Parts: sequence; structure tokens; C-alpha cells
Amino acid sequence: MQMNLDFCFIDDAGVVAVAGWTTEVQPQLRLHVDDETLAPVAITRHARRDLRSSEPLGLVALFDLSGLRGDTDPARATIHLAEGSDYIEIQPDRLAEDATRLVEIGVDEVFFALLRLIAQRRVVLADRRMAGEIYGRLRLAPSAGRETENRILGIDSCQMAPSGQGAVIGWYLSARVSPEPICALAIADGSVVPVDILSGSMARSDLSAYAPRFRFSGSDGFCGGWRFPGKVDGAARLLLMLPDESFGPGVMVAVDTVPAADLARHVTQAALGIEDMADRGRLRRAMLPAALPTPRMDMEDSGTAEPGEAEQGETELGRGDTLLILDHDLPDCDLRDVLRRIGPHLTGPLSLHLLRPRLTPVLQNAVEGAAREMAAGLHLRGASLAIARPGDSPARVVFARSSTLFQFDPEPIFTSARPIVTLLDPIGTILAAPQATADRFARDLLPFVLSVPGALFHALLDQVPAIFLTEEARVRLLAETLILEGQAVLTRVDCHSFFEGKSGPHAQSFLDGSDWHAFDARSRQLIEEAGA
Amino acid sequence: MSRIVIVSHSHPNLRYGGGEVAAYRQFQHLLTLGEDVFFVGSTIGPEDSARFFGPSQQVISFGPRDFCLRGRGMDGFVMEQAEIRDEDWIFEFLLALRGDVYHFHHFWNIGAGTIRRLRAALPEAKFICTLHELTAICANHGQMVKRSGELCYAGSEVACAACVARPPIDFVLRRTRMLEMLDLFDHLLSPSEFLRQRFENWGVAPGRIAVIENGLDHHDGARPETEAELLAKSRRFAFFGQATPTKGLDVLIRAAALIEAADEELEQPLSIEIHGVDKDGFTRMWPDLAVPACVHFRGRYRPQDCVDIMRGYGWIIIPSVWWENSPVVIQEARAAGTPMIASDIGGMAEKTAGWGVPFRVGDAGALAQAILSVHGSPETLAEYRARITPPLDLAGFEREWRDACGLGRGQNLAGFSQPQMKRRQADG
Repeated sequence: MQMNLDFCFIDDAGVVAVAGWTTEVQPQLRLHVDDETLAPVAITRHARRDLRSSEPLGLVALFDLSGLRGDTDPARATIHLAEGSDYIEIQPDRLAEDATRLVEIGVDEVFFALLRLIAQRRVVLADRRMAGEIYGRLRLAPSAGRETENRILGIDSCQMAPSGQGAVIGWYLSARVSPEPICALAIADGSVVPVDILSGSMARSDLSAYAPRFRFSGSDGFCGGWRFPGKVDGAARLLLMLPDESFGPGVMVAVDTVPAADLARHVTQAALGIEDMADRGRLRRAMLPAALPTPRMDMEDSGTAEPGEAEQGETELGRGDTLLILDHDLPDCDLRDVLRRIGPHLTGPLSLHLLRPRLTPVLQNAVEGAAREMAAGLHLRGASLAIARPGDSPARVVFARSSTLFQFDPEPIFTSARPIVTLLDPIGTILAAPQATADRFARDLLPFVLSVPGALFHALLDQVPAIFLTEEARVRLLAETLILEGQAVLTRVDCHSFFEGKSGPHAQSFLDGSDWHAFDARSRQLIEEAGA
Repeated sequence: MSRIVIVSHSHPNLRYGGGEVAAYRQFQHLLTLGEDVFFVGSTIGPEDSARFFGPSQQVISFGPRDFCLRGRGMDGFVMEQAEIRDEDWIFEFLLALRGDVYHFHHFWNIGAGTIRRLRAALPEAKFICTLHELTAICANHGQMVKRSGELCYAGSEVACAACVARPPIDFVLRRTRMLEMLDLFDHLLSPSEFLRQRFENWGVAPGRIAVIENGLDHHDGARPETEAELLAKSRRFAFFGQATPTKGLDVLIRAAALIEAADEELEQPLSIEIHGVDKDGFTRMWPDLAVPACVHFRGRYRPQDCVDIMRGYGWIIIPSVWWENSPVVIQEARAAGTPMIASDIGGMAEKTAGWGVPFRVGDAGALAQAILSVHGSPETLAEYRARITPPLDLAGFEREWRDACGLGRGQNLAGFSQPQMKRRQADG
């Protein structure tokens, strides 16, 4: 066999990667799985300095096992790598372990080739341990310079929200034409994810001064997005791998952690500079999960599974304390009236979580003023844009925007013995089908108030990761689950001349005119379109 | 034993506006009757407070029953104290007075929250409010004149949002807050039918507002005049007011210019005298308007001299370009026995009906025509003068106030014995 096989492993998507080297320019590789034969779906070549040659002798070949017949189980099959009439049997343990070995002991060039394949989503290695190995090997790796004789790279911003969603905006000019694109990985301890890079997607006429040295097209800006699957511990970095540079890992860029809204503002602004409309959605899409989270009802949490439990839940709702999670979308001073208005309908003390970044003096005055007029008692639990799970679950959680709460009748919301979703659906009487209402709830962002037992609220909300700018977008998913599973009373209010609030952070407009709620609605749409 | 607390948004010792003057006159009148009455006014904002108050001073007492609170300035849109501690202070002060009757003249600088809390703390007390203008309805200085200059006939969330450039929802809240507050009063009073109608159209239940004119004590200084005197006065016109855009002084000056342009046709001299404004003040407000020769600026005057000054004229002109409510200048003209030429809208039309010559609001040509129609005509002047009835005096006001608010008639509210009354008068 002409090929020298160094590593052979199977990735998380069922692709077998074969890494080694050969002097053959076009090696005739095949993979035999029992009696089936697969041709490689891709072969990449790279130079290997350990072979004392600048020729691209190194090789990684990929075989996609999804092409096998349905009844073939790769884990139990006999697998041979073949080149011409030569065969090598691949032991199953090697398929499971070689990826780690490659990262640990593989020569730099093959390690970097693997990173490129991961960045290009041709190889999927999502395991936390593997990510930790890659992170460890790259931790001390030197970064390539941003400018060489042959190319120049500029980074305008490289930011990540605390949720793990990030975006990079920059530009790249090269003296040579290369078929290889820029690719990138976002790297943190325990997490390595591909960055969807949109090369040459952004108009950058300001770079024309580089034209004598590099190829200038006018659209040399690039952007890219990523999402770590969970909250990231410690600093994150971006590894930008540039064309025709296989001897080094690439350019390392520190990722700045910024508030989610700052990132959204930046991405919105950057998206306006993307010339292809499809790419605008792609940048945002890269920062979102593959599918919309659907919280699942745990019948213990619902308190409505068994008749006895249902009664207990209802009793709690009827007698206990209430946590009001309020998006105060009115002028700060009006908070007092919003709170006062619900005071007479409370059956126990009220605690308040304000979805505001901070408690302004006016808000504090408003809360204190309301407290002086509310017999049931009012306690400010906190003010932040994120919902925190309290130590003790309140009997009832009510989630609302102030404008909605003020214009809806508060009595059923705060006294209902069952979970209740109250919504304004102005055309609901004309298009009365339940499914249509549910569709409009999501599509038209119908104003709503959710009132549920505290334990159920938090159990469901915990299942929706922080992928949106607003907590309301998460709570909408929760409300939809309750509606679709019939676990909440759906009440349509008959309210005319309803006006939405336009104050508070969520009402702030981005450069494209959308506010935070519209931004989230677009995020949701992008996820749903991708899943359709 | 009943105690009355008169609460005003301002104090006439510091500012001399119609509402606070009416409130203070009521206080003084009740005091002379031996009532157990207190007056609580306020400075209208930080500027006045800084001028008159020490850094930590909360109240100035002008007498044992006459107080002026330190006003912090209140956003008229919100109509609440900005700082809850200020509301606490005012609430506790008003509560400490332990009034049986609280009569609010306006609620600006007092705050809706203060009134709500006081009402909750004193459920047995009688709460009265005199609506002196349209602030509860209109966030544009309570004048129901759009920022574009058009007269506004009715507020609505959408129309107000377009006018004041705030989201409609802000007006939903504001209206709810104001109506809720007004609903706390046992009695609502309005000095004009026009104002009552506006509030009812806006949402106050019909029948809730009683109309009582502000009281104005006056002496009958009028004497019969000869035809020559009437002829002389019929050529003399006067304006009393300030150089604010809504008072319409510019309309009057334009009308005077039109008259002067047709000067050759006038057989008799005509003069228009402006009181309350000097020429510099006028020029600052309307730098492009030339002042015709027939117009003379007389500057400021003492309010107590107003009626006597008015008696020297044949006609008083009130050309306001907003609705007005029950302007004191109309009462003063009535007290002086001097008829008026008035804009044909709102409180002006209502209060001068029968003894005034109306002209189309804001129309300088119509005003010029109205002036010329009475100019040099002693017969017309005599006819209009004969139609004037004197304004309600304070005794009359008190009588109507007791009737409207169910406070009983012909007995002192406090139910004091004569010795007690004398002691209290000596205290006061």
C-alpha cells in the first residue's frame, strides 16, 4: 500500500477520517465496510515538514458512512482501507480513539488540517473532552501575524455575549488567488465550534489604498458567527485559518465578552453592510441553535396531572405569594400605577423582578410609592434583564409587559386558580380557529400575560436556553407549550384601543429599525426556516 | 367639629395666578367667618424654592394657619411627586392637619399619589377639588391648544400622541391616573360651564361637577355718566394681561394696525391701552410686529387697582387664542361695569354672553371690525353696560359652595361657640 496510515477515526456525524501521507498525487483510496465499498467524499492534502518535503504529501480522506445500506452497523462491521489491491484492516478501537491520538501526538500539519475540516463542518467532533484536548494543544500555539508579504487581515470586532453567541467582523486582502476560503473556529475550554465565515461579503471601499500590494475587490470585508452550546467558562479565542498556510494554526484573536444587546446592535449594523440578502440571515443564523427549544411538561411540575395534585396547585395559586416578572415598557414613573392597579387583586404578598438593567431612582421611587399603597405588601426582588431562579419558588409567577398588564383586566390574572395565558388577539373573533390563534401568538407577537405556578414556570423556562435578547422570547415558547398541551386556560381579552409601550431597553431600536422583540422574532424565524 | 384645609398648587404671596388667588380669597373669607380653616400653598418649582427657602427648609408659614410648602417642581404630564420622600412629607403634613374638609384648588405640586394616600388615610373626610383649567385632560400645558397652534376640541390617546410626541400608551396611563384621582373627590367644582362640559366629554360622569364661579369681592364704584363721558369712553379700549402667546395680544396689535391703515375713515380718535405688558416685553415676544400709534403700553399694574383702572375705559378686549376658563379679567370687567370684546370660544364666550361683543378667535380683521362697530357709539356702550350684572362675591361663592358640597348653610362649619371663634380669630 502506497499510503502511510497514521490515524483513522469516526466522527460524531458518521464520517470516517483517514489521515496519513502518500507520494501518490491521486491515491485511489476506498473504504470497505463488510461487503460495501465507499469512495472518499473529500481528500485534502497538506505539506509535512517531518517528511522533509514542501510537496503536499500529507492527506486526510473522508468517507461518509451514511451512504451505507440501512442494515449495516459500522460498530460491528469489518472495515478495511484499500488502495488499489492493498488492504489494511481498521480495528474498531482505533476508530474510537484515533481522533484523540491525532490531537495529542499528530504532527502539527495534520492537526491543523483536522482543525480546518472541523471549521468547514466536514468533521464533527463536538465532545467536551475532545474540545478540551484541542483547546489545550492550541493554548500555547503562537498566532500568525496579521500582515505578511502575501496577505493582510484586519479584525474590526470579535465579540461574544455571555450566552456564548458571537460574531466577528473583519477584512482580508491577499496578493494571490486561492480556492481555499477563510475558515475559523471559536475556542474555549471544553468547547470548540465552527464559525460560519462569510468571506468577501461586505463592501469595504475604504480598503482601496491596499490595492497596489493586494488584490482589492471592494467587497473584501468578511463576517462570521458562532454559538457555543452553553455558557463558556473563561476566555474564548477565535482561530482564523487563512488560505495556503498549513504550517501554522492561523491567526488567534481574543474574543471580547459584551452584553447581548451590544452584540445584537453590532451584528445588526454589520448585517446592513452585507450585500447579499441571503448572507444577512446566514450571519444571524450562525449564532442560533439548530432547532427551536421546546420545553416539555413535567407533570410533577404542572401540578395538574393528578386530581389531588391539581387541587394542591390550585390552592397554592389561590393563597400564595406572587412573583411578578415585569418588562416595564412605560416611562419609569408609571411603574407605580401599574403596580397599584394589581394591588387589590393580590391574595398574598407580591415580589417584583424588573426586567431592567438597573434600578433607576425614578423606578425605585415608583416601587416605594406603590408599596405605600398596596396592603398585600410589595418587595422588590431585583432588577436585571435576565430572570434568575429564586431560592424558593413562589406560588405564582406572572410574566407581563407593563403596557399589557395595565390595559388588561388584572383580576383573572392574579386570582385564577389555574395557569392562564391571557392574550390580545384583535382579529381572533374573525379567525377563531385555535391553531390560528396559536400561530398568531408567535407570528404577530400578540401581547400576553402568563400566570402559572412558580415551580412550573421555572421548570419550563430552564429548558429554554438563553438564545434570545429578551426573556419574553423564552417565555413565549413556554406559553406556547402550555397552550398546545392544554395545560393553561387561554383567555382572549376584549380590549380595544390597545397601545404598546415604547419605553425601556427592549423598545430601543437597532440601526435597521427593529427593537429587541423584533430582533428576537427574526431569530426565531431564522431557526424555524432552517428547520422547515 | 369641622376643620377645612384649602390646598393650592401655589401661594399668592409668591405668584399671583387666578387659581391660587381664588383659593386664598376663599381661605381669607372663611377665616373672617371664624371657620377652623388652614391654607396650604406651595412654591411651583425649584427656582422659587431656592429664592425663598433655606437649603433644608420645607415650609414657610405666613401665619399660624397659612403655609407655603417647598415645591420641588412637578412634571405636569405625570402629576406625581418625583421623589417619594417628598410625597411622604406632604402627605404627612396634610394628614397632620386632620381636616374634615380638604378643598384642593388644582393638584399640580401636590401630586396624585399624595391625594390618593390622603384619601385612603382619611376616608371620612370630605374631599373637594376645583378644576381651574384643563391640565388633567391636556398634557400641552392644559390649554387644549395643539402644538401646531390649532384649537383642540377633544383629547384622545392618538391625537394627544401626535400633538405631544409621546406614545399613545402614555396617555392611556395618564388619563386613567387622572380620572382615578378625580374620582376620589366627593365634589368636583368648575368655575365655568365650558370646563365642566370638557371634563364630562372626557370621561367624568355627568352631574359630578358643579359650576361655581370664583368669588370676587368688589365695591360698587360706578356712577351715572353723561353722554359726553360715554362718548369719550367709547373711544377708549384696553387690554389687561400678559405677553404670553395664548393671550392673543398679537391679534389685538394686528387689529389695531388694520384700523390705523383705514385711519382716514375714522372721524373720532381711538386709543388702545395695554396693561400688564410694557413695550419691551411685547417686542421680545413679537419682534416683527410694528406697534401702531393708537396703541399705548402702560406696563404692570397692582391687581387690587385693576377694577378702578378698568372703569376708565369703554371696552376691555380679551383676545385670547386659547379657550380660557373663567378668567379673572372678565370678573374684574364685570365689577368695573365695563363691557368686553371677546374671542368667541370657551370660557370667554360663556362668561361674556349678553354683555360682550364676540369676534372670531385669532382673527385680527374680525377684531378690528368688532372694535369699529362700537367705537364712538355712546348708545351702544350704554346699552352693553346696562346688561352687566355684578360678579359673584365671596359671600355668594361661600353660599353656593356650601350648597354644592353639602356643607350646610348659615352655620359656621366648625360648629364653634362664639368664644371659641373669637379665640381662633385671635390665633389666626
